[in-house]
Amino acid sequence: MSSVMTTHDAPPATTPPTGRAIVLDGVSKTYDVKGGGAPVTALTSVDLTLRAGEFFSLVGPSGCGKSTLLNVVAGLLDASTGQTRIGDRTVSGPDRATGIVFQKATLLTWLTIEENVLLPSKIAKRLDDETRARADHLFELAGLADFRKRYPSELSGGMQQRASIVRALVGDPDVLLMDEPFSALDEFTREGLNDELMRLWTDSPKTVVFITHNIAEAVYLSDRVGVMTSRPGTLKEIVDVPLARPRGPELRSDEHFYELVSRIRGLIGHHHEGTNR
Amino acid sequence: MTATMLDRDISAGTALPQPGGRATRKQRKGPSLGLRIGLPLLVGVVLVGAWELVTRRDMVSPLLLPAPADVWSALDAGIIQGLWWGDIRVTLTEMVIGFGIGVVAGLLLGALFAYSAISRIAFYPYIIALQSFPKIAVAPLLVVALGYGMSPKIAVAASLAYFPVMTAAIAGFTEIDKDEHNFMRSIGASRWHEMRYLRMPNAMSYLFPSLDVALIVALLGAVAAELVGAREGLGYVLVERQAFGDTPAIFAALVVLAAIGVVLQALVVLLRRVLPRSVVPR
Repeated sequence: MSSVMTTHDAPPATTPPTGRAIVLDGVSKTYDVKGGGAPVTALTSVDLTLRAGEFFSLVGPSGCGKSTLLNVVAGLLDASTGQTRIGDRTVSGPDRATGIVFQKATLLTWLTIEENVLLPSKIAKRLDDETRARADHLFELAGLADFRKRYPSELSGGMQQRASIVRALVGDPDVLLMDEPFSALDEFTREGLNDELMRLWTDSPKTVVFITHNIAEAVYLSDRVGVMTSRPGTLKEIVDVPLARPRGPELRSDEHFYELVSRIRGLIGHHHEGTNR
Repeated sequence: MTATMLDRDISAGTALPQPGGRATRKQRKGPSLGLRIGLPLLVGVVLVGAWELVTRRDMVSPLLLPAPADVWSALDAGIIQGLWWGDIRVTLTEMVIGFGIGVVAGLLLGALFAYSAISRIAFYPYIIALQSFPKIAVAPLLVVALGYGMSPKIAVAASLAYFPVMTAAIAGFTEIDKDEHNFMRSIGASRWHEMRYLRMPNAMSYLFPSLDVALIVALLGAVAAELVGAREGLGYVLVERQAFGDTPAIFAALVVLAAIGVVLQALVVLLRRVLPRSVVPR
């Protein structure tokens, strides 16, 4: 276990290198407590290297710092120590080359689906023919082509989240960060969207950091799964998922798949009980 | 591809939007239309009947409560024969201008307080203090300062109308969904973009409910200021008729004021329905 913790080296590439590598070097985050108490450690020092084009999931109990980690990579939160690099760039704030999907679809209710999806490009003044063509392609791929003139409230939760993924991809980012994107959806919609996401990712591979509570979802999607534990938030272990791609629904009943899920569940459960006071 | 995605959504039991839109708005089942119209009508008939009965039997002095027929003939003289149209026009003008000034001032102040913590700390306590004393009490002073014309009435109307708009604007500009804000940050939105695409539309959704309140208090302010000193307007009608002991006309003027209030409120509701979602989010 300790050897995994110290190296965290990326496995050999199995997909063509697209996207950008992400390197976290001693990243930690502490919060000061009002009233002069001891600072709260949300995330202890994390070293992690993601290879370009890798699909990487983070699983762990609430409060393990996985959202903190994601927000640091997104540039939405400053780390207390350490630094994060995406490709050659050191993260110092939000960047257009990073697409984010939140737990809520965060579509603006006063814009149509199409206006929502094109808003990031419009703000970046890059609303060109290429972007529009990519939007058309993604709308088609996500089954939203007939709904682009609708308002978000007219769509189901699953469709809203799909639109939010399209919005994150339309600027052709190097990196896609997803913060529990499917956790508010029912199981059937979630599995459907997992396959959907796989297709979109295969269509244009990005480096993906995917946060979830759902271990099966993490294994199903990922090249590697990072297991985090809480109090304080730590990246405890990284589990390789050597399952062949393309993956389909039959994988969910595969023996190796099941083994990996139980192994990760064991890693979380054991430690979680250990820290329960 | 589209078809398979649709199938999946159906099989997942998620509601597909209807072609007419508004699918997410559920029709609430309530009392039938007949009941919703018939019952208030019945209550109205009973009330007027009781009123008629009370006046016929001279249970209350006609100086306090005139007979319905007398009120009707006063209404007939004021509205149908057109005696009060000039006064109605004056009161409406004062109200609308006061309302307009109030809305603009409320919006500007709301934006200022939402964006500048310093100005909020410095001025907001005084705004609240100002709000908590009856501004109609200033009307006599305003009449001395601004004369018997429309301006003191407009001033009182505006001073009442700005407040609900300002509080709604502050809430609309500041109470932004945290995730939506993070999303705007993540796409590198400037403060202007944030204003244009997030805060302004959000403020609009808070603003509209405040407008009918502002409209009603603008009417209240205009009439109250007219009571203090005026040469025309519905408030002037009230004072003048009272001097003659003409209670039916006072009642009739009150009916006119109530009707104005109802019609204006309905206009705001209608406006909200008619404007596109891009202007008034739902």
